[in-house]
Amino acid sequence: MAVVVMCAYAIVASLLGVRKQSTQLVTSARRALVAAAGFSALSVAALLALFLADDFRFQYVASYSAAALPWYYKVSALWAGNDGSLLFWTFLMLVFAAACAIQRKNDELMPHVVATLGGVILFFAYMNYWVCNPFGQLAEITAAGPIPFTPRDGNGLNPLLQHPIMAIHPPILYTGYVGFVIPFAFCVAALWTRRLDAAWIANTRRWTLVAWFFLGSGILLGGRWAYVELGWGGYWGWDPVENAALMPWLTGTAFLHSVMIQERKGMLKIWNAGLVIVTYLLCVFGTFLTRSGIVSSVHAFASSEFAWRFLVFIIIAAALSAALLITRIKDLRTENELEAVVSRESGFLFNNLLLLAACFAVFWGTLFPVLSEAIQGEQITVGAPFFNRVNVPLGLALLLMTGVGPLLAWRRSSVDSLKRNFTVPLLSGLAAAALLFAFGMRHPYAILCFAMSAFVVVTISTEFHRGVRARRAHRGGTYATALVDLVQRNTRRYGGYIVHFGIVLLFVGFAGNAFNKDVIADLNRGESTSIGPWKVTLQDLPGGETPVYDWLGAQLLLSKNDEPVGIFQPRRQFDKATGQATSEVRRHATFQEDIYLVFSGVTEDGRATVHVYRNPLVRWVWIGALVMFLGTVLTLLPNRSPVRRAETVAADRGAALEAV
Amino acid sequence: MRFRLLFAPALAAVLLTGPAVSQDRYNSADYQRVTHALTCQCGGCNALVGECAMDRCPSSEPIREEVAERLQAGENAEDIIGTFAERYGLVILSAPPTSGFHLSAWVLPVVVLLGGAVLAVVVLRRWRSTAPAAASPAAAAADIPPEVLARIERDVEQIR
Repeated sequence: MAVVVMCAYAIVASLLGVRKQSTQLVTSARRALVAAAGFSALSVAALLALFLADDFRFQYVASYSAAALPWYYKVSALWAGNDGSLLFWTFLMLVFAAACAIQRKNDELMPHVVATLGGVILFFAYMNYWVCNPFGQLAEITAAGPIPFTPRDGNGLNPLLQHPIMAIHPPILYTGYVGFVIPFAFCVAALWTRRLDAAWIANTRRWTLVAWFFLGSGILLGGRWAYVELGWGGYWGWDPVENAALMPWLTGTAFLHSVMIQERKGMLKIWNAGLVIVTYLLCVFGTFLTRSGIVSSVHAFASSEFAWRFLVFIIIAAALSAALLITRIKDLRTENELEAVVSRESGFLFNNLLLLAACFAVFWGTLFPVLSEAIQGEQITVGAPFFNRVNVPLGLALLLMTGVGPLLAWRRSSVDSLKRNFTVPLLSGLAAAALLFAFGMRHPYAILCFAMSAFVVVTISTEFHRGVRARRAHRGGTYATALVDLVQRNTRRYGGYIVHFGIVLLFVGFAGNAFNKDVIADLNRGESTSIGPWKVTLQDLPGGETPVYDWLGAQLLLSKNDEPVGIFQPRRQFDKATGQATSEVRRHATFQEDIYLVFSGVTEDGRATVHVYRNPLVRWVWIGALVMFLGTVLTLLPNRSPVRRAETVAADRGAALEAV
Repeated sequence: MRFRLLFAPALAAVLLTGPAVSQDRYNSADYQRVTHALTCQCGGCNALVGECAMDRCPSSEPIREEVAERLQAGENAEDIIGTFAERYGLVILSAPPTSGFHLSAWVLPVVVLLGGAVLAVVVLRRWRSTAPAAASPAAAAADIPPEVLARIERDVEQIR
């Protein structure tokens, strides 16, 4: 409730502050957001305390926790259900809002930024308090009226969520989702105040990157969790909830690229404003999709009747944003013109087109079952085969653009420079394709993917090499020092290339999917099954129990070309609180391939059903994710430039003189 | 208790030995194709029948069995998919059909991509055609001798 009041006050005070030109009122509005963050932290801490104290008087605690649960899963149970996760969502959004509000800059935009943030958070706080309050207590309905009721134990946490990754995946994903509220608020403020130069973009670049980074990390962590926990041998199933996170990530990626055109050339202003608005609305749409139950999903919270409120919020926010955009169209006119069609600018434009087309394909595929049912009255499913067929070509085109973009010069690329820049990378890509074909690879998409990966890696390496060569010619030094110097001087550019390199590794991992093989076998003790050079032999069927679950395992000897590699024990676990059975898979992971072992159960005649997957190159997905992480961190670091150092020195001198 | 009931035969079977069973029927290309064209109908997981990892799934497990049996009996993969679509409706198919209204699921993303590409080209051409000649840095540089301009461009390329 205090959060609602603080947010409402922040809106009124900031707008009054603008009207009366009172910096005190605006400062007070900023502080109101900080206070709201404090109150929100208190409510999250209170709920956490209830979980840790096993206070099953509270319905939410009783629904998602149990006394025997380890403390860290009691903590993560906080976001296991709709009400708690929404409370946590609001808290994270307020952390962003408060961090933005306490900055002592952007004074011109800040009142409207605070008002926008206040408005958005007000909606979520309203949901927390009046609609999805996690502090409701259990009661037994009797003839004399409801009387408090405390169950002896809670229902327990879904055993699939009892995994270390699940303890960090939701907060990271939510941080990504909510982080886009800052660029959204700045965009609305810029439109509102008609300050439509690139300042709002420059001010929000880091915020956008942080949100994008967390959203991407959350998605990849989710993939990792699915891979190691769900036991179906894959990491991405095109589930509606996965798609919900991917869509804003795609539009956010488009935005991160297209802002460069606005910063450099003052172009694409309407487009960029539209992209930020769409990205944030897609974030909220993801929440709606997860909580509404309109599409069936393994991840979704139970269908909730309150979810229409999210839809109303999205419609109102979209209408207001669109109205702002339309009324400011004249001010958003392009400042510069394009000199040549073959240029970095047009490269970014096509990159945006592909990202948006991919986003649309995901959006369309996710909602098509709803549309089909509404129009045709017939339920249909849009699953992985649809998304793969539509998005794989788009993904490959994007991979190609990752290599083409940096080779195109800003303003215009001369034929000579095109020849000079493209010859070696193109030849490398073709050589890679020829080599793979010669070695017997026939999968067209896989060959294309590896060839394009080679192309992109060569373009990135060439960019680094050219930069280092120029730096050495200018300042001397060794190759390594010149490389470090180069990267430090333009962290954004070279960090971006490292992110691109991570993307290439991701695609190499994705391409491995084309060669996945699996085998199912019902084995008696001592029997084996084979997949390629790998042999899996059942040695034993051990079992046991812990306070939380009973388990039965299949002790398997894995050997390659008859050489023993190791003993692995995939399990079936039976959660005592929920009665739910889950698979605990075991993997033998190498850079070349993963051997993924699942113990599916026992047949009626007592044989162990073992599912063995041979998944090539999966490890490169996780390595690619780490490289993207490093690249993004690098882009967030400030440049080390001589100008800045000179300014610092001057400032230091000034400070020293004042001290004297 | 449930655990013990479930695994009593399994634990007993550890002591038993039996002939190895041919697993080919679960691992043929046709089996993979059919089980990846159908989705689990358990009501919550959306998984492909060939990938559903639920223990004794009441939906995927019998479908997998039936697919294997029908293939073994010599039925064609397409016919098997058709049989299941008739029995359960289109909802069991993992992708929409490519006919009638459902064709739009496939076509619209392509239309959007092509439409976007046309729009992008139109925008580029408009930007290009409205570029005021005098304001263009390239035109402003027209007074610079071409060899000097070429040299500058080469140097800039190198520094980039």
